[in-house]
Amino acid sequence: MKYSKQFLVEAYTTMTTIRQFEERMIKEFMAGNIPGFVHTYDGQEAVGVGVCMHLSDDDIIGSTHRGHGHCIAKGCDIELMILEIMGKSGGLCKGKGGSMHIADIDKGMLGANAIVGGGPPLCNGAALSIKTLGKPDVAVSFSGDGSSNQGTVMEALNLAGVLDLPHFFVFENNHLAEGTGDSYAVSGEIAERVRAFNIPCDTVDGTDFFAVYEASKKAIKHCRSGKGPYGIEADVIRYDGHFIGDPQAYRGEGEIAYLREHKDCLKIFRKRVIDEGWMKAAELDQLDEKAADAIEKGVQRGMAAPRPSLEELYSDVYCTY
Amino acid sequence: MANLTAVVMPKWGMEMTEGELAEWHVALGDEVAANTDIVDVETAKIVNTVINNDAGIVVRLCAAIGDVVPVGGLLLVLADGAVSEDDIDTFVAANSGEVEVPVTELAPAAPPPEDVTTAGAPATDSGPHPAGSLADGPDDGTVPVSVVARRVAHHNGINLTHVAATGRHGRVSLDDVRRAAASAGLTLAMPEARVFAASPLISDVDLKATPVARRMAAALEVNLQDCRATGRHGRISKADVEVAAARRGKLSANVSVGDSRGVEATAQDSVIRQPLSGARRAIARVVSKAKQEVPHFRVNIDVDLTAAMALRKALNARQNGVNISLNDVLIKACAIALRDNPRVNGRFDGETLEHHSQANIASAVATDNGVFMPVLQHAGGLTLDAISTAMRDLAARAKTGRLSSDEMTLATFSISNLGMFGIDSFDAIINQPALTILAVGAAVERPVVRNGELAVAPVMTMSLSSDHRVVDGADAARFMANLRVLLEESVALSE
Amino acid sequence: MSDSGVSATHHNHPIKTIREAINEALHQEMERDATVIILGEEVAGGAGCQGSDEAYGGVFGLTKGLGPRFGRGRVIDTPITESAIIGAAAGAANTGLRPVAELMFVDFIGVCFDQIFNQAAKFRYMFGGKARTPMVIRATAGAGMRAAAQHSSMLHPVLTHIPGLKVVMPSNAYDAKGLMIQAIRDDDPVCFIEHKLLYETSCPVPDESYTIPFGEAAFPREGSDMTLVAMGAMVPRAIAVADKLAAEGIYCDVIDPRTTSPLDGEAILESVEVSGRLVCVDEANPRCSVAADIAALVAEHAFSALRAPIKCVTAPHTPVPFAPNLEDAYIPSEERIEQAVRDVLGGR
Repeated sequence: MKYSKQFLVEAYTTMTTIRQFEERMIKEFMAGNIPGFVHTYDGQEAVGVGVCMHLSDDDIIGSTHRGHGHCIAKGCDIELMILEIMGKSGGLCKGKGGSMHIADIDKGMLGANAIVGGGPPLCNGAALSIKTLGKPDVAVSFSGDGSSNQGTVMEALNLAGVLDLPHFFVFENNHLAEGTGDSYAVSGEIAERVRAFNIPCDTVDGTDFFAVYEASKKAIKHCRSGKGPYGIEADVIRYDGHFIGDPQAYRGEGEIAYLREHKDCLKIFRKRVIDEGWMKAAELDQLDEKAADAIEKGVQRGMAAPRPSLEELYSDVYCTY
Repeated sequence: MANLTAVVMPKWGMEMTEGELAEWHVALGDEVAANTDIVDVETAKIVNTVINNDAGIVVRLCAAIGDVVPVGGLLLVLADGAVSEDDIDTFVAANSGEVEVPVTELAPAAPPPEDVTTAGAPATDSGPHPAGSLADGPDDGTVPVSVVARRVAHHNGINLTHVAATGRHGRVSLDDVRRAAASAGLTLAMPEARVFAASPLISDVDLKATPVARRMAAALEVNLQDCRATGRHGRISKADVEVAAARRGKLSANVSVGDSRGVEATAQDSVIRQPLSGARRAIARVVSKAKQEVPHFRVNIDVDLTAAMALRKALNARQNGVNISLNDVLIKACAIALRDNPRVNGRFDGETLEHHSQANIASAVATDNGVFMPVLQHAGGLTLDAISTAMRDLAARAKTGRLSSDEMTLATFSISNLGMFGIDSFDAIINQPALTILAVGAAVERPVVRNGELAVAPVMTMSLSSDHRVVDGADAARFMANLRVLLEESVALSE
Repeated sequence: MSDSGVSATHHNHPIKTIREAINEALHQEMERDATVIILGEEVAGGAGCQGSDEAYGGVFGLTKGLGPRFGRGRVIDTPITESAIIGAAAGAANTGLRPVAELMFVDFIGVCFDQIFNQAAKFRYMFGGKARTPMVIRATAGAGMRAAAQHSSMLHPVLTHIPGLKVVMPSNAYDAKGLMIQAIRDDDPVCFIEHKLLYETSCPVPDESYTIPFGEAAFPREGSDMTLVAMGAMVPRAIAVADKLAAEGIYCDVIDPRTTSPLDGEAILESVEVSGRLVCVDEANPRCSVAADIAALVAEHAFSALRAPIKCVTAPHTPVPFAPNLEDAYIPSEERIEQAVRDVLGGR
């Protein structure tokens, strides 16, 4: 067997946690239990998990609008995430960040980023720290096909190349920037853009966990060994709207049903491990239930938690005043 | 005797305890200004120069080059006038005691010193004030303090070691000094507020201004740089100069800024901005409230004044010294009609409705301060002569601001007459809390039909505004019909 | 222009320019703390060029000598890529370094403002107090070099407006050194605004390292007749006016806030409570400026103490012009400051 049982259990647990977490957040949002704007990661689980399975708390990631999945994959506490997303006291960011700014510096999660293209320049900084302090760590930025059109991302690629930074650029091409397709909005190929900065970049099927895992392994090894930045472009799909409540009027007829049938990374994972005889369906179902229980517990805790105290409005603007 | 001040070894930094004198920059008998270099001092870390706070004549050097002097120790004595050697000896003795380690807690109350200039804190100006229990204390030179708090404390002879610090970053604030003084029973003397003459500095000849504005500015010594240019094409207008001058208090009292008659009529737009006077503010408030709160409805009626005018003419022909106006006749008619229609005569404050048997009729009187509504009380019992005399008296007193409170406020009915301006008809806003107001237009010759024939007669349009919360349409209509009959027949009016 | 703002107790220290003082501060902090790095365009200079590495040290020479001393690993030449510079500084600050990023001209915040105000300034608040972003953004600013509209702005009001940023604007070499060392040691993002015209002004500056706390105003002149608040390059001008008036027996508190965020409002209010008169001088444009902010602060909290209307002396509401006569008219002059002071003195 190529992968250990423990590895497969961990990978699947994280993926199914993300899927069910996002589906639950949609439900809670619709029920009025979550304020504001929420962007979900369901459908892209294989990428976040496939990359983060290689990382420790000392490695740094920078995320996107769609940050819940990266948070969970990086090991953030899902109950504290739910408190945060619900805007409750005791949340991961004390209820002051919310879904779009969810972060956990202690876990090396430098934040979801509600500015498209905001993260890669920051991850250059994390990579610069790693390089300057002589650490073996790596910085990973997640960007979408939308981000790939931002000047900040082009600047970040160039500077990472110039300074040979240990920065792994992960482009999750879900083919939709909000409600605009990449076939229209991205001129040329994302991977080609990365390569133009003399940064190696592979393309990978982002619905196949194992493909992402193996591609990341190569990329991260490259970064950790001081050879400079690396990139991958992962071909993924997005199930839900840009934000929860997005009617997705821009979708084709039957498009989403097709994606769910043929491009679901969890289904693909299950089929592979069952076909290979690595795990049984019942085992996987059990992991689904365990994840559901944990999420249910978090939601109950989130519903019961109070709002932040009014003093929280004024604190944490500065370290010193 | 002249005031003596000490120059002492300063404390530069937390760790300094003493300093060695390296070089004098002054000699005995020198007259030195404040902030002069006095002496170079060498510490374990640096060479630095001691500066004096007060001007004066050097009357005593208290240490020599090479001496090591503790922080707070006496270096020299300055005097602001002639002084005897004995006085200097006394001063030096009083300032040469043990140098205490600074303590920051509030020191126990001590008797006020004879001369505060001998207290630990060097006075920083010529007007020291005894600070009682707050005066004594160790050197306060290292107490964190805001610049102004230090200045005020020392101006008042307060030693900062006695002041609890609550200011920014833990420093003593001006408020802290105020609190300490208050709790010690001291009144803080603040530096004197001085008045300065403005002196035009920048030439204003290049600025665009109307010739009149420039002439006026020269006369009033206003620099045109200080004016806002609101005139046409960005020119400074006469009004702009007046505003600037008024701000400086340079305009005589009889040309107030708000007096539009002081502004020449020109093609340009002269804007005068002013706060409302108290009386105008009151009017504004009352009118707004009435317009916003009271649901008004209006009924109009035309009255043929042929009979009323004939009555007035006859009465005035008596030449008894009373000149009865058409308004007086109208008041009389209203008084009678109100007696018969009590539902339109009264007051309503939103809670309680009053209907009055007496007609207390307010009439609008225009004055320089706005419109007043003096009240003719108990009008129903008065003859036309008495009404005329009383109205003249009320109007005169309204114009000089000598109406009593009752005469201003007790109206149960009001009349506003704009007939003298040739106005045909208008609506009036109810003079709250009265229930109704009658708006009266001009008597104009109009065609009327009399006994089926067309004739010309003086006709006047009247409009009654009523508070619909408590007055019904029929009430108002009956009153107006009644009033018309009284005026058109006029028989009852001469009573 | 005179040396400004330094009390007489600094007399025996060597005379240094602001350029030298800041350079010395950078040297001493990089020596003291290995996590301090410098990055920006040509901060070491000459990367990828044929000439000597040692020669350059930036267009204004502020970072001269740092490259040879600390190596290109800590004094990092970047491409012309402001977003990536500020982003790298912000990311590095959150992961263990204390970066000093240089914006050659503060006008260039236009191309990297997202990384400053959406990222660096908001991290701590958004992340519930977990983030620490100890970074310094050095930027040259100010008119007077005939550099025209895109290389001459004073943008400290824009930066002061942003919660989470600290904004420092030294007016003399002594303050520049102490404030720079404080800025580097501070755990919050600090914008350090250096006025180009002040670089060659000098005063005594101790050789040893020292800090000046943020939010504590300096009073280079004291007097109870007038409160004259001035910032940056306006401070020497305000001092010159105060000295001229002092010769006539009129004494001004000249207040140099030194940091516009945090602002020592307390010191300003206290001074106005005594003087009853306020003139604010600021080279920035007038609308929503720090001068306007201070005027509002006083109107709101010390209105009853005022004896005359407040006056602000600022640039006009225009970009910085090129022609020398126009630029000279743009910058608040000593004459305009003096006129405003005399107007307010004569108010009542």
